[in-house]
Parts: sequence; C-alpha cells; structure tokens
Amino acid sequence: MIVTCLNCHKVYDIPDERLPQKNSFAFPCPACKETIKLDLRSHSSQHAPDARPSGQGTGQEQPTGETLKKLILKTIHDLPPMPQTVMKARDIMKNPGSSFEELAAVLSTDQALAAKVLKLANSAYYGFMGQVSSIQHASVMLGHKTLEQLITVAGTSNLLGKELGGYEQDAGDLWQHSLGVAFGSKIIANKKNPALADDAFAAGLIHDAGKLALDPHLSERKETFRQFMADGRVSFLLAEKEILGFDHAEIASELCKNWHVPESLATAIRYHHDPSLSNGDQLSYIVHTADAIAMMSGIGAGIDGMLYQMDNNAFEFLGLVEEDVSEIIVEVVESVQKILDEMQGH
Amino acid sequence: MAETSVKLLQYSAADKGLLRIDRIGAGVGVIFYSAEHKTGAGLHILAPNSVSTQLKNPVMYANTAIPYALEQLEKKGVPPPYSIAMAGGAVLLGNDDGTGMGHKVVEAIKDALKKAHLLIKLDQTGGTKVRSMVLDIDAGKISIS
Repeated sequence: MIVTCLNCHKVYDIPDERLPQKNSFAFPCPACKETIKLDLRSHSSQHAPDARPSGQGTGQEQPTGETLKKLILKTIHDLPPMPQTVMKARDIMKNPGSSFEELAAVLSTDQALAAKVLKLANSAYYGFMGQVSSIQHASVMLGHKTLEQLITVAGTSNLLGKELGGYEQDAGDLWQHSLGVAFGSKIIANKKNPALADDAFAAGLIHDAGKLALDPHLSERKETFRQFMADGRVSFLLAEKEILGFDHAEIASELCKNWHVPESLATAIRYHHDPSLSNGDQLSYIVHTADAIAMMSGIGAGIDGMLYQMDNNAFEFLGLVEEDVSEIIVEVVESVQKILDEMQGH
Repeated sequence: MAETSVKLLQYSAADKGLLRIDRIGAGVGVIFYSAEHKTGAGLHILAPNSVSTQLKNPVMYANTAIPYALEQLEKKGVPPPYSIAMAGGAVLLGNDDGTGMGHKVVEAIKDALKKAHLLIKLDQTGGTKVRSMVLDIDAGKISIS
C-alpha cells in the first residue's frame, strides 16, 4: 500500500502483509512525526493532518505527494494540444519575408479557425464591422500584427472556454479572464515597451493554462481547499502547492513545453504570480500586473477570487502610477465585452 | 422568474423578478430599491472619481455613476426614498494591491451618495472576497454572497 504524508510529502510503500487486521490505524510519519491516518476499509491512504476533511466521503482513494504529481503530469499529456495552425501561423507572420500565400495555406487546413478569425475581424473591437470578407482581405486591412493576435484568440477560445469545476469557473469564465489579461498585457506593454506588445498579448491569453491541468485534481479536493483557505489569509497559489504539489504557474511550464510555446512566453507564464523571481523579465511583470488588474475587475473570477498577492515593486518596475489602473481597467473591460459580444453572437 | 443581470460598467433597472450583479471584485456594485414603486436599479462601478465631464460611459466612475443612476430613476418616475445596498471594494490578498483601488471606489461612492442625501442600508465591502448581489424585487430583499 502506497502511503504519502501530506505534511512532508514523504511516500512509504507498506507491504500489505504488514498492515494490521483492523478498519483503521494511525502512525507517526518517520520523517516529520505528523500522524498518518489510514482507513483500511477502502484500502485507501489518508494523510494527516488535513488530507480528507469530514464530509468528503471516505471510500475514494485520493493520491497525494509524488503519486499525485505523477498523475498531474500525466494530465498535461491528456490535454488537447494548442492548435498547430496557431503556432505555424504565428511563425509565418513573424517572418518579414513571408507571403500571404503561406499564411492562407496554413489557415486553409483549419476552416473552423479561419471562420472564427473572419468573425472576429468583423467585430466591433477591430472596427471593420462586416467589411472583412476573406483572410487575404483581413491581412490587408488589419495588418500582420493584428491578424496574428486575432489568430491566437480564435485558436485558443475552445481550449480555454471549458468549464473548470474545481476553480468554480463556468464555461467561458477562464476565457474571459484570459482575454482580460491579454488585453491588459498589451496595453501595459505599449506603455512600457511596445516591441513586447504582441508577445504580451499571447502570454496573457494562455497565462492560466496550467489551471486546465490542475482542475480535475482540485475538483476532487475542493473541500480540502476550502478548509485550507478558510481564514482568507493564505494565497491560493500556496494552497495549490501544498495540496496538489504544483501551483498552476509551475505546471504551466510543463504545458508550454508540450505546446512548443516560445521560451519568452513560457517564462512570463511561469512567473506571472512571482515576477521578482524572473530575473527582471519585463514580460513576467507585465502579465503579472495585467492579471492583478483583471482580478480586480472581477472578470471571470473563480474560487480563487482575489486570493493572490501583487508584487509591491511591479508598478515601479513598469513605470505605472495608480491613476493608470482605472484607465487600463476601463479599456480592458470594454475590449473584452466587444470581443465576447461578437463571439457569443450578440 | 425574470432575471436582469447588471454587467460591468453598466446601469440596469427592472420592476419584477431578480436583479443581480455578479463577480464584484475591487469594483463596487450598488443597488437602489424603491419599495413604493417595486423597482430596482443596479450599477457596477470600477473606478473612483473622474475629473472629466465628457465621458462616453458615466457608469465608469463613482462621482458620475451615482448622479446618472438617480437621474435615470427620476426619469422612470421612481423618486426617493430608496433602500441602498453596496458590495465589493475587495483588495488583493495582503491588503496591498499596489493601488488601494477597492477602498477608493467605496469611499467615492459613499461621498456621492452623501452629496445626494442618501443613506446606505446594507454595506459589505472590503476583504478579499469576490461577491455577488441579488435583489428580489417582488419580495424587496437584497442578498450579498
């Protein structure tokens, strides 16, 4: 029987023949001395002090520690890939020598994506309502940079549009929040370093993709999370780390490898809650600040609400002042609403 | 039951069913209810005070949103008295989001209501919680969760 101590995450393999002939028993963890409780009726492990709170059912096996980490890493490989069309299209448009024909050829392999791109191109946000009739037309009217942004939005909407029960986000909530962070990141980048604006938009859009991998495991342990967060003084990131072994920013790094996301974006996603650990990476600070602003406005908020901390130096690092926040929030909210109105057919 | 949802930076009014404001973070939701006219109105405000009077959307700022809501209610034939509830003004964990925006929006709304000689009946602001407000217009009950 594999037993993991929730306190120190040490894993023990206890031979079945050494288990006592009774329904339950407890013993101190040899490593940290916390009590490990076992319910042998279901032959499942239960780990002190808080692994399974009352009312959460006792018959289900809930892996923890290294076993859980392995399961979560496996979840990453089970997630749908980032549409290859998006990455290919981004590569083509980054190359100044590329032609429209190359882009059209890539988009022709994914008609659903091409249709969504056209729908977005005709939305109020881009200001060409009903005037853009083809991808070629879009590339002329919008320019490559905007078209690249639009393809990224269209290509990630299904992936990020799912319901995340563990995070208490309805279908579309993560998508709305991601759009908010993408627009916020772009606005901030344009103030600080316009050359980063496109990467900032893309990083903002997928910054919370790690939640896709953690959600099913969080869902199974929601009550544990509630108890951990009960006093409202602990960050949600710490709860993820303590209960699941990973936080969503950390696991997103693994996901980025799978999706072949460029290193610069992967770094920003990895440190979007702790930009001070990014060695002064501008993109990390930009996405961090945009995320905080989107959280403040409540766009797509879930169980984690505002239970994150903002880096005290982020504003100074980015050269922002308090007065900028209201302005950015208003611009972000209006941008998100314009895109959503079009995507939802309003 | 009919349900009217007040979106971010919007004003909405209804005279039956439920009026709700969801996902209130650092911004503030304000609900006005007239028991006499069985009418409710809600706002979801995100910023404190604007110095400009040439705004595309008056609901953005507290000092323009409150007068705008009162004007709309008057136009609808729903004058005071109102029961007023407000919720939101949350801050990121550690009470230090680098902006203090939630607190500023709350204070700006209180000032705007004071100028209009209106009292707040229910006030749940601050903390780190993202809140929702629901007004049951028929029953005249406001709940905040």
